[in-house]
Amino acid sequence: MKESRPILIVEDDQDVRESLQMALEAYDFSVITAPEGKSALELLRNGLRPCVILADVMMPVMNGWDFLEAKLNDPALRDIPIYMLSAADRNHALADRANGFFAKPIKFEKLLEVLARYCRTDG
Amino acid sequence: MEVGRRAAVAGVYHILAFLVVRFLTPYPGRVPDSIDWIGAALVVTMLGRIALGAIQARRFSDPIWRARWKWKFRGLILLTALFWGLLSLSVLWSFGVSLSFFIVTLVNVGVAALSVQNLGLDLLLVRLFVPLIGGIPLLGLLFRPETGSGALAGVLALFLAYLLFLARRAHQLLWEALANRSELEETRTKAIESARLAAMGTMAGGIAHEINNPLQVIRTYTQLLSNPPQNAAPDTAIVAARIDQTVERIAHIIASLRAFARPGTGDPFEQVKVGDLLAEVAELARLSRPAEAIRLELGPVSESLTVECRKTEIGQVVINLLNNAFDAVEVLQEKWVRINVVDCGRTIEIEVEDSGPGIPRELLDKIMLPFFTTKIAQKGIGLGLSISATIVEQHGGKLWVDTKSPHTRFVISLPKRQK
Repeated sequence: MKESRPILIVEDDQDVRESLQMALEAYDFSVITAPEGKSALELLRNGLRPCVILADVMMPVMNGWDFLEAKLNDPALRDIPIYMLSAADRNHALADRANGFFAKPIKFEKLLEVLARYCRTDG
Repeated sequence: MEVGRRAAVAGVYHILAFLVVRFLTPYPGRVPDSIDWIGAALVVTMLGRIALGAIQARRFSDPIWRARWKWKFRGLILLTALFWGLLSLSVLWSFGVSLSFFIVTLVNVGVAALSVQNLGLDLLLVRLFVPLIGGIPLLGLLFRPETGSGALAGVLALFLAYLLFLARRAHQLLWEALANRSELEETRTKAIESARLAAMGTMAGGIAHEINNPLQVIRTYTQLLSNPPQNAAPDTAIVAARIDQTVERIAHIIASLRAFARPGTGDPFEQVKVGDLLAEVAELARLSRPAEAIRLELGPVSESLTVECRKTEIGQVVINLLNNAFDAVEVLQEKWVRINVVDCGRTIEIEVEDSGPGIPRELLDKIMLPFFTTKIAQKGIGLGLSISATIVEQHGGKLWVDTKSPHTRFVISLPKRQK
């Protein structure tokens, strides 16, 4: 039995999305993905409650920072832990409002450590 | 060339003035034989002006020089024309020319006074010398109007002095042209280099993103291979294949970056397929702006359409226009950038159009000037368009803004074959 609450990965790069999903599922996490902020927000507003959100910063339609802001402004979603992922820099007014920041390429052990803090696995 | 044309017009004007003086003077009885000398002096002066015009026209094609001297230069041409107009009128009128000559002298002194800032001291002295030589016999004429030969002497003295001035100026321009050629070339190369680096700087963020993403993919897969989960060991063949694909993706990014990020100034001209060039450039532009929801469209280009150019340089010009377009539409509701190619027979036109409303009329004159920019400091230093225009001109082409389009449309016109 896997942990019922999945990890939500919000990432526009298909290769990154698929590789993270494949690896994390191999480590027995449950993963749901969204290609950008707006569709991730829709998933959340439709009732998805992930144990943690990993959100890329540079994305089309709705970028990571706008997604973070929308999440923080929604009382129902405010408390879901969120980590920002970026291949560029972390300079943004909202940077400190996220639970943490991972610079790509992410040290995988660090990521697993963080995920273990919020999400339980069966393995 | 504008200046060349002006010099030619001035030349024709002088010939006409000579013909009028020679054949249509209303007081034939009073014209001395030596009037032909005046005509000859006019012709020599005219030739000198054309030569000067040619030298200046060459320098006028350099955007940096042009930006610095344009208005002062036009003012000088205007005043010179005024000077010669008044002089010719006074000659035509009659040889009792004391008043009009006096005005001419004043005008010339005015020219000299206005040129103080632009001319070196020695040149200024020559300038002042002209009205002085012409002025002394004129002063005599003012007091002794019956001495007609004094007026003639004044005219000849003025011509001689002006020829002296022209010779001095031509010598100075030639000397400067020779001495500055290498310096100017060096400055231009450096300016192109700065513009290229500035453009690369704005693209670097996007490209870092674009390389870090595939690196992330590789790291994720290597983690799977080096620390396989006990329950679900991954299929190593699949994972290895994905790593290989990702390495290919990075290699592709670096190849397209290398193609246009290096200096292309010394490259030979070659036949380049327009479609291939634009596809590569569009790809790089997309890479540099990975996450922006801007639609970039490349219109149809005939497979056989080629242009003789320095591929890297023309690629850099198009990238620069695309970067500008991206910056411009970033803040708009409707965001698109379109590249179109028009085959005009002996030339081709590459149009870069974006969803913006066009360049404001009052900025049209300025946008091609070096260091003019409407962007914030982090986004541009204002060299892009002026350098792009220089590169296109070096290809025998032209870069301009199509003001007929309802949107912002820049057009690069290039000859298909270099002469």
